[in-house]
Amino acid sequence: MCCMYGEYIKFGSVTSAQRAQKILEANGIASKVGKNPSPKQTEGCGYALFVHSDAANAVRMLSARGIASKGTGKVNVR
Amino acid sequence: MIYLDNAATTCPKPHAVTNAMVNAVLYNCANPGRSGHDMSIKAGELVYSAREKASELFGLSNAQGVVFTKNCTESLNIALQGLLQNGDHVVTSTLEHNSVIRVLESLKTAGKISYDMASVYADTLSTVSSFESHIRRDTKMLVCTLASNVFGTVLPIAQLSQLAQNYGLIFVLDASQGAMTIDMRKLNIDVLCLPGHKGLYGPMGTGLMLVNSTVKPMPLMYGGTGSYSQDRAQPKECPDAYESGTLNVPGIAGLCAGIDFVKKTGVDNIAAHERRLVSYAEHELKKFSGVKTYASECPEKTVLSFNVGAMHSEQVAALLNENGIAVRAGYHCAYTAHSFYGTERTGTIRMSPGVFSTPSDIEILLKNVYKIAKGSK
Repeated sequence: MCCMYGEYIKFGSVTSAQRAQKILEANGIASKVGKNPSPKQTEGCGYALFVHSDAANAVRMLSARGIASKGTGKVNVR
Repeated sequence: MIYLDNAATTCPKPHAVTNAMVNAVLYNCANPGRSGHDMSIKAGELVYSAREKASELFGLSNAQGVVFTKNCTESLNIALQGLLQNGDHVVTSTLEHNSVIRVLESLKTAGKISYDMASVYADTLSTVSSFESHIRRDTKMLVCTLASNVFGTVLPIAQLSQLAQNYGLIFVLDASQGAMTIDMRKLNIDVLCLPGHKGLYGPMGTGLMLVNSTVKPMPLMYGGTGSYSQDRAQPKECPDAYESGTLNVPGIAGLCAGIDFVKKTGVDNIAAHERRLVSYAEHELKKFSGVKTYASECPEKTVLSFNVGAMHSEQVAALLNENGIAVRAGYHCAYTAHSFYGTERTGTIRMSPGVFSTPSDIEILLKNVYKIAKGSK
């Protein structure tokens, strides 16, 4: 379902991801909340915000509003 | 049944609350913040929407600061036990509910903190002076109720908040009672504790703790949060830090609908309606020989306490119940408030209307109190 989205931003909790989603939405960036598709062992369970592209730009936007993310990744479409 | 016990829990609940709860069980019955399937995400959206609505209603800038609890008592326990440290001193009021007093007393008995209770007067200046007179060098927190659950006396929150700010104290507000608009930003409230099932018209089993970024209470309960699972330590992030275990999604759905109802109806409209009914009851009861009403100095009250002759309040409430009228009698979990008003012997009968109460409900109450008063002589 998240395959239409090319990249994702990782968050510690679902609430953080949801808050980030609202901010991106207010800035015209569509996204979708889902589970972190490839968490590292050190990250445990977590959620991600899937965006079409340019996750780095979205991270900058969120960071400017004091919202920390846990990194980005690219959706692996097989 | 004429229900005049809304200060205990509002009844009836709006239909939208019931519908939202049923829908949550039928269509959103998945665990939010745990799984990634559609229904879990949908349940998570519902929960987040409730956080946003609560933060908007109470002027909290960050919806992540909204914590769901099972009631206001739990919220107050987290705020007080989680923020107070060894050697701290607290100032509170004589009108507090046991949800504040017992927490403070237990911390005091454990040798951790000390506290003083300030008197509440009809004029704001005297009340604020009373609070100020108890502030010491080691005072860390000012915690008080918005309004007395027994007598309806409204505390001067804006001035007390300013006092707390002047002395660099944490300000915790128990908004279980009283009907007024509360803006955490404007009032500089650090922690706002509320029940979901009273003025917000949500279901029982729901409560809220709204935490400003200025403070970070220690959690009282630890466990699974669906986040940072690799870490043995409790997450520090709000709300996860305080929401271990599965959330009460149907309850939160109902609370969310309750908040919608309150916003749509208007906090000020609800308050005005309740005040009108209380004022009418007070005006009429004062005419009855042998009936004593309390807190006449407070026109903003939305509950009314009274007594009939020398009868114990529980006797009067039992007679009213026999005639289909629901009120609360006794000490209302706030014995210090009764000590303050001198009603320790009999307690008081408390009538508390809600948004669905009508003038005819009050008429029926008045007729019955009149009969009881006449018979008590």
